[in-house]
Amino acid sequence: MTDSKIEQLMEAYVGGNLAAFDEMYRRVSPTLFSYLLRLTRDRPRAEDLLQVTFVKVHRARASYFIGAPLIPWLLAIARRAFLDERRMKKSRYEDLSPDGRLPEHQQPAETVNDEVSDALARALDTLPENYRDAIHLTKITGLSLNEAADVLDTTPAAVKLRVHRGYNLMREKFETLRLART
Amino acid sequence: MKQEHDPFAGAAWPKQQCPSEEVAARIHNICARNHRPARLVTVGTRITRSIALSGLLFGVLLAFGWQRHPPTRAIAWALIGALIWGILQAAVILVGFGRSSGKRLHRVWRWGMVLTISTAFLLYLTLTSDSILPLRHFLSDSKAIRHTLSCGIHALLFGAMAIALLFVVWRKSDPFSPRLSGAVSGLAGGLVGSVALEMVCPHLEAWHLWIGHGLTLVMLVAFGWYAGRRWLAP
Repeated sequence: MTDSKIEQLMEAYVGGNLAAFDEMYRRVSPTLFSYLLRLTRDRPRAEDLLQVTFVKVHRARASYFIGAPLIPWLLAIARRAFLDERRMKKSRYEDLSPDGRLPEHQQPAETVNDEVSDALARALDTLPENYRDAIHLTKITGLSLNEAADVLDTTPAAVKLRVHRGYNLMREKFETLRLART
Repeated sequence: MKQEHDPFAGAAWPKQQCPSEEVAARIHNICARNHRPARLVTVGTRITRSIALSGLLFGVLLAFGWQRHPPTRAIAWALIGALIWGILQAAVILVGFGRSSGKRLHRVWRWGMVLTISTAFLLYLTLTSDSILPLRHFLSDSKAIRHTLSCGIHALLFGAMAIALLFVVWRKSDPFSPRLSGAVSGLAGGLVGSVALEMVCPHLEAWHLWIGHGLTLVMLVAFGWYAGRRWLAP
């Protein structure tokens, strides 16, 4: 089981093998969780979305195409879960507190920035969302341009451009940091 | 695609992080509960089913139409029309659905296909029309309106049935671009309804063709685009 490809594990899981699911989860959850963490920058939210993603995967397991690359499929589902959640939050009405005032916006209890000390990660976190997404999928997750374009629902040329612009912004940030130090 | 110098090649990108054990246990419980084995269907089987089902509907609508209006044009033309429809339908389904992530035709091309075929069909209707009434005369002719409505309803009904069948065959299979796949389903469904009607309907007035035959295709593409996100995304 440990030597199998994740696509084979997915097929075994759909066929009813729960051990295959556990092995698949062990292999794919860091990729999905890191991506969700990059999108949300909030650990509890990312964990919630990871559960939502797996519920969706479980419900749609029979629609997986045999032999299709699994990681882009899962990442696309995770991204849709994130976008749906964000849309719902935006459209939610604010409840007034008993004295009629609007409740204060609460900061998340634990942010990822507290944990991530790496300069690259910090620089990445300051980028606009579409650049961050493109760099994360191509450089950290290791998807091809075509696969990343599928996940982001755009063209490979657009992904390439986003990575390039993201790189430029990161380079500028590093340059400013270097000048400040000298 | 041209390879460019990567200024961050070899950089220590942040490592991937793992979710907590508690989350892993919860996910295991969710996925293990009521887990029934399912049978995976290959892309080829789905494509074959899609083409067969839409072909069946097309045939039913054609037979139904020919019963009411026996064909006045040569049967050979009808066969050529059916053959062209079959090729077009297969191409739409193959290009729209037939490949997995990373190998699919770019969305720009797939959108291009949806728009080009819809526009080409409207153009075809314009070219095949034998007359055009002033719009006011057309709207005041109750017989023409009734006939147009009848054609539109039949095209919509059969088109919607074709879309429903395609949605069942491809249900929850596209997390990447479900709206686009929905529009492709709408186009395939619209081609079933509108092309079959075009082959059996004896009325060749331009407004009738645009509204009764062409508008339904556009409406079904728009409906597919709207419903795709709900039915085709996991």
